[in-house]
Amino acid sequence: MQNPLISKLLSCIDLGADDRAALEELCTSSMWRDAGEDLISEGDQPSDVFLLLSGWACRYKYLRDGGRQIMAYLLPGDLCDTHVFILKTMDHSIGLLSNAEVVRIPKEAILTLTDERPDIAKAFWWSTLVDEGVLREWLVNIGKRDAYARLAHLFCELWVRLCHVGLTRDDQFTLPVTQEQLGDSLGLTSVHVNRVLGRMRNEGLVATRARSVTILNGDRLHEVAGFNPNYLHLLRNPASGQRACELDNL
Amino acid sequence: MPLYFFNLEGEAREEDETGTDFADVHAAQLEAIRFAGEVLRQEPHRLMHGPLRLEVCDSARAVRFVLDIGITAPGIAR
Repeated sequence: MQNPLISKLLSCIDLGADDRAALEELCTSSMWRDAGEDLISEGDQPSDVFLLLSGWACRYKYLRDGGRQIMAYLLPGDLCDTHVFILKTMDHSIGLLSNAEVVRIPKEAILTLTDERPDIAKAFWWSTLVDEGVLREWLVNIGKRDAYARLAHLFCELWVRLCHVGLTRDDQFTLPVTQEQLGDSLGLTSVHVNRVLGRMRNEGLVATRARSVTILNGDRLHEVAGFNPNYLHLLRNPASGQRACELDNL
Repeated sequence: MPLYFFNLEGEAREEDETGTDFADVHAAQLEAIRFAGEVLRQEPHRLMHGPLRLEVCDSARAVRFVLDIGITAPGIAR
């Protein structure tokens, strides 16, 4: 399978063979880490950039009362902030939601790559801007959408993002996230997540099995969510061999 | 951890088919209050059409406690 970072960046720009090779070179030494571990914690000094090759992570923050807010999901191909080493300390933690294959990229490698390869520098900027777009959309989701639309929106987003890195199987994707973690991501109680998941199943929008979601009615899910993928800024179709990632065709 | 079922009743009844685990009935009560708060905030129209009842049952499906939420307007006929 193609390196998910390359698949992801190809949604922005048609990288040349030498740029692709340079990105592959970054990923030669990966390591496996366990679900529940932090890649980096709040207060740590960031020196390297983490790249997920497989598995999921999330950005999160604990509150004084023990409550937790998840602010983003990081999927295969996602870099945990391309220039995070500019900052002195982390203002949040990045933890693994599943077992994951991770690459630790030293800051020097990132700096050399962006200095010498303008297309990669542009693609990294694009990726940072997309992260901001996703964060804005999550803010809208939590602030203004009701629970049903919130969960529908999250499912639409995950399907499109995973499709672009080749990780959907037709209408199905893996969701290594508990109901409680979904609640912490959507600003909902677990009971409310359970309620809207049940409603979604009863209305035939999705089927869920342990750790996977099947989209049964993409059109309707799209409509419930009011989903517009413009904030993902997918400028090109996914890498060759895959069909366009359009949810309403499911 | 014991399983609790959160059934909502308003214009129609929404049965909780799967339930959620909580350490004890107090934890389930706190969750019920927060959950009811979310429903009120996100679906305020529900209360305009009559009272809302959240009935919480244990794993034997026996009702453990109930939250009744409604509008009272003494002297104003509906």
